[in-house]
Amino acid sequence: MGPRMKKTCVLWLSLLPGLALAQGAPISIPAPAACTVEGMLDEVRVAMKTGSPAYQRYARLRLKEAAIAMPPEALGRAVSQERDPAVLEAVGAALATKASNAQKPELLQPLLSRAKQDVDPGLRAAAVRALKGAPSVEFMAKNGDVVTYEQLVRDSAPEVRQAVVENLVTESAGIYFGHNAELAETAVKAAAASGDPSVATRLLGEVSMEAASPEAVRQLTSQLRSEDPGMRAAAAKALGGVPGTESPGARRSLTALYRSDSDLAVRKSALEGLARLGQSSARPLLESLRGVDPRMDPEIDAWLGALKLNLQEWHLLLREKQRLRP
Amino acid sequence: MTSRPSFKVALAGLVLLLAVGVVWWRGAARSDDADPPTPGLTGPSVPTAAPASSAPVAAASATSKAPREQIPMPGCWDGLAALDRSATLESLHAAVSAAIQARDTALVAYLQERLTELVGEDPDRALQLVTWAMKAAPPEPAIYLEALKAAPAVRHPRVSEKLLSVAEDKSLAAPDRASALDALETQHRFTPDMRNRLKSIALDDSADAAAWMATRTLGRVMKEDYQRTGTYAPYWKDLLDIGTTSEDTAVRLLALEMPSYSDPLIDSGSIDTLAKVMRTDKERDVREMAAFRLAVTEDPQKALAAFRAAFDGEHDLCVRWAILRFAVRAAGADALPLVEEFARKDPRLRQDYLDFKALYATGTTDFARIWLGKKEHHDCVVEEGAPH
Repeated sequence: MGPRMKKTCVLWLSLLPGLALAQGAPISIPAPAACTVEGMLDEVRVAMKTGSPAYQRYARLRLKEAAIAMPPEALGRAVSQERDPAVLEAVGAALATKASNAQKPELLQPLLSRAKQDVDPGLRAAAVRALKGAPSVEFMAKNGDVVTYEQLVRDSAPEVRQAVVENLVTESAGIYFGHNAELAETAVKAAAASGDPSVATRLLGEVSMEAASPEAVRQLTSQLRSEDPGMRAAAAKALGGVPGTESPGARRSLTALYRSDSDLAVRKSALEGLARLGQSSARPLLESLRGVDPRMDPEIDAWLGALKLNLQEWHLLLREKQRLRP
Repeated sequence: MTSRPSFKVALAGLVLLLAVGVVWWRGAARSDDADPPTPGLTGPSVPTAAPASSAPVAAASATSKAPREQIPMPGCWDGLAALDRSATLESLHAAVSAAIQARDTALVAYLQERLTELVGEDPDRALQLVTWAMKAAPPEPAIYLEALKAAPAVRHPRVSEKLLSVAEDKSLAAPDRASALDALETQHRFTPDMRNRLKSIALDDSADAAAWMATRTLGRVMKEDYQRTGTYAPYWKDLLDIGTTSEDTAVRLLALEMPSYSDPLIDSGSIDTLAKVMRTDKERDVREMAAFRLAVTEDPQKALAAFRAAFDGEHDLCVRWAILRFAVRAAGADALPLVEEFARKDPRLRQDYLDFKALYATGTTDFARIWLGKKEHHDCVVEEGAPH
């Protein structure tokens, strides 16, 4: 290669520094290191700030695993002092794991305190979200119900109220598979306390009422008289899911509601509740409601069409009805 | 059947679920705990020193000069943040070996997920993972193919075709073919040609683990397609053919099991075929599975007739118990007269009749709830890994 050619090559390489680096740079592989409290907290902070979604999941998971071996004071301090919502959520979730593992619900006090009292709504919501997937209703009760979902759901910030909904829905389905009376009762109370129809609709629509106590069913029934039609509709739908022993009363309430409430969404929910309570045996009752409101007759027909299939599981019946008419 | 312990164990696990009757009702309650982070809270714009909080001290600065307190646990790494920041397929590929060597499953999971992110919708990157998977020794192939499975690029025609051609390659070892089939399970649908090719693998007695996996993949894509579009019939036709003609018991069993995960309403025509399997298959497990399948159909009365017809000729208590409980699942309280008839013929089932009768008398109608209250009186649960 002559000097002229060499010069051209150098020129091209200098114009393409990225390429030269990419070709020359060795691939650096992470090296094992000692685990420290500060190192793991720093890792979570970095991951939450600039990491890929995969790295964020990894850092959160690692911190939760490490929480078992970490001194609770270090986690409690981090929860009290953290100012980034994403990091607070991760550290709070680790503290909840620690509290659960050590069977010391009192460890959660700093987190509960931030959920209720932090001046920043983003941090309050993050503190609530940190309890997602944990047995939080039980935790709160064991901390003397100083902080409850009934209080948190009244928060002025919608993101806090949404976090409450997510926690209760997740806890009901993910931890108790719907079979928990306290969750049902908490959802009914929180829905009534929220004053936010979107919150009430999701809480009553998605938290299982399968194990609802007679008292919770009574409260739910009283919501059928709410001034807000969204709340009445949500309560009507939820009444369809109450235990079999409560079904005669629920059926009477929903039939009366359908006949007297002129709101279409409420009537639609009342029909769903009645279909759920009786499944195949609800057919004569639904037939008898034809003509009460001609606008709702196509909805009754859709239910009758689905009920004709004689499916024995509610989720299948609902699926088939929604195929006929969403 | 050729021995393949891992599949036997997986199969035994599935049968265990079936036997306790939880496959269908717990499925709905399963929660996904791998929620993605909230993007709005993770960007670099979040101020680290914003004074909006009641917290008096910024945690990062408070800890920076303190002595570092060691935690007695393995699995911490220097340089991971840098790897994440400048990740390439090659750098992640290199890190996979280190993670495997350290037996760090959390790190492996991270690298796999990061690979998925990097592949995204790029078919060339996806094909690079297939190449690495084919060249590597276990457990690496599974990492690359699992990463690929979760990336949208797996549905690119070039990628799905490549995976299918690997699965069909008889010169490869059965586990490698099975891994390629496994990576196809996140397709949203299969064309008729792809279904035929999978069915051929499923019915090939020499394909061993690949036959089992082809069956499972057909079933999983059936679920996906059914949930997205309501289409299940062509997949079910293939599965029913496999379930009635494969020489391999595990494959037959799996073919009949796969609709359990989406619960389509089995068509009236298939009831006759399933009824025959329930009466005649030589394996108890397969007869039980046919009974399970008859519990959700578009004609419950026809299914009840099939249960009635099968009961007398069946002498295995566990299959009789399956016929009884799936008759209840098929028709609810309407099945109680038939169940009483079964209990008269076989007094070992009398308590089951009494249990169901009492449960329906409480006013509960949803079979998922009825089943929760049902006591188990028969020793029919198959232990994981046990011969059956």
